Amino acid sequence: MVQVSRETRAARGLRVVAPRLGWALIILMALYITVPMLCALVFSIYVPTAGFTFEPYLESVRDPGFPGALSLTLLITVLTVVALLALMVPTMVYLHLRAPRWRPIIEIVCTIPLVVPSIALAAGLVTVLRSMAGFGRGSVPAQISQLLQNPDLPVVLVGSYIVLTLPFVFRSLDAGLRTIDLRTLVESAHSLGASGATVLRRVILPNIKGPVIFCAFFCIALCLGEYTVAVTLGYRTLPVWLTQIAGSNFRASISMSLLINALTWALLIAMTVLAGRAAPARTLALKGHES
Amino acid sequence: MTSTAATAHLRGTTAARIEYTAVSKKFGDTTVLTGLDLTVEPGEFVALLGPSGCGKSTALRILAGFETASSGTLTVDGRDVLRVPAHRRGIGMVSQSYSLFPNLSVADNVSFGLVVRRESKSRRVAKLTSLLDLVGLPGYADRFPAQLSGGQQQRVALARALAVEPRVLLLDEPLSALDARVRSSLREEIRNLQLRLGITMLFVTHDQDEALAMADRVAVMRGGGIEQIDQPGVLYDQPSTDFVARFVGTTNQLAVARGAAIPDLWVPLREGDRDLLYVRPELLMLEESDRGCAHIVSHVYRGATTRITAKIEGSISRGSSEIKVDVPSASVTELPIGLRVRVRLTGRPALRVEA
Repeated sequence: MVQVSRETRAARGLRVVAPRLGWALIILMALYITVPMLCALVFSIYVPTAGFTFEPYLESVRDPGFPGALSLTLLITVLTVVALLALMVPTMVYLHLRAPRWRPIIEIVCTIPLVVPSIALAAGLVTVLRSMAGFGRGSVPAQISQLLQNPDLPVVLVGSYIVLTLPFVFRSLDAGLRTIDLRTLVESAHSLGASGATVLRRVILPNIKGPVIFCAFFCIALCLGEYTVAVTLGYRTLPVWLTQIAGSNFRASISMSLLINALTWALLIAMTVLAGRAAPARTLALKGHES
Repeated sequence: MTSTAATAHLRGTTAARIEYTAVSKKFGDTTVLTGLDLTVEPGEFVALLGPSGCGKSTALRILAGFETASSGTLTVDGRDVLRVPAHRRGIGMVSQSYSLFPNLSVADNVSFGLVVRRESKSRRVAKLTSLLDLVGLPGYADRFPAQLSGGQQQRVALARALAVEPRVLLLDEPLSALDARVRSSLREEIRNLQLRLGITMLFVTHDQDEALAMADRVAVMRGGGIEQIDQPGVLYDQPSTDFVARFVGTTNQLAVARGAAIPDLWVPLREGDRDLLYVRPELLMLEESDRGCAHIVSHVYRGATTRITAKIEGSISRGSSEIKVDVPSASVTELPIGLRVRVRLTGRPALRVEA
């Protein structure tokens, strides 16, 4: 009896302490994330000599380099997301349906960017592009090199960002396709008269909506924040421009980086909401089983 | 599943004739189909029955367009279909389970093929209503697949396949994932549906009861070819090979002297040239006898009849060492376990082969 009650007391103690410990950890984590951002926020809107002001924000937006950097980054972001999904979704579907033996090889190839530092990727690209240009003005390799580096439409950055997202995109889509009975669904749709493109659009995509949205978000976050490759290849994307104005107007650069951070968070929240809405069938299904 | 209006709605479909001619399929070094010849008449229901790996599913998937044939021709109503992509063949398919689109409601699943074909909304709605009536699920239009039982899901899959009015409907073990009761009721419903719509159906199964109960003709397959194709009754009473005799139904293999007349009372034959008689359990009787050749070892109650197993004494080099006999359950008390018995033949053996 005594022993039992002692155990119960210990268990009760754990029951009381464990949630508190959990909350303490969550609060600690929240502080770790928010304190630096709050400091940055205060720094960006409080100027000791002039009090509270939004001037740094206005200054950063008024900077002559800002519109160019913003439009370049947005263009790259949109192109990268579209190209990434157009490339990877059909590839992964094909891999699962027709070439499952190739899956381990593709997985390794897609994981390489995770272990190769992005500065190495950038340095390699610079070397290749330079050697292609070295064939001489007007030669085919030089023209390709120029095309890839077009300052208005830097294809090379789009390509690099696709490569950098591959490890995460592969895993996410792979997991998504594993959760559905892909072959049966595709064959059923074919036998009902749907062509390959229709099957992809009407059957596969709706059933891997969550992973696809995750990929898009991850890609957007990467495009908005990537610095190493862009600066090495000499493009003035938003992050590159930010570090440049940090030298002349530090407060403005902090305010702008806060804005970008807020934008990323807003996207994350929007995507989470969207992904939650993407699976109404499953939620309904759970309710159906309970009743 | 009673709606004559629904049937009338769908009956415009013309049933097709299917003809496999020397169709073979190789995966690397393994041959899955060895020159399959099979003709299915318009409106006929043919079952492909066989153990796993006999090529029955491959034969079906080649017709559906999900596999290519290595050689041979395959025609539907005289037109070669082997080069036609799957989605243009007009061949419906219902597969094992979980084939419904999980993101779509029952209504959207059934209408899928109609939407793909750009049929008008009014026609889609009319068809949806009559199809859900037809498969016995009126009022289920707004449910999602995960909210349905396995049997209901297969009914929806059936309605979905029928919506596009296919010339041929293929069923790839559609009942194998269901529990026994649902399975037996659904197989009757599928058969009735087929008779009412007059559609050509090809059905793949490894379950002989299913094949015998549903099909006009059953093709027993083995090693990539058809061993025998006949009406269920013929297959059961007159199997053409020992494989068919053993695969379809239960048989006892009883050895008799080569060329000897079929005896009334069977006694084990232990040497000399022998023939094997394949005898169904309902065509044997066990009689109490002190000098009998076997003794009863088990009873398995099956409702109206009970299956009694008797072990033959001594060693048997050819044929069964145990004899299975079906008797009316009422007479089981006369044949208790341990009783010494003799074996009487009451009907013609299904098959006689040289051992």
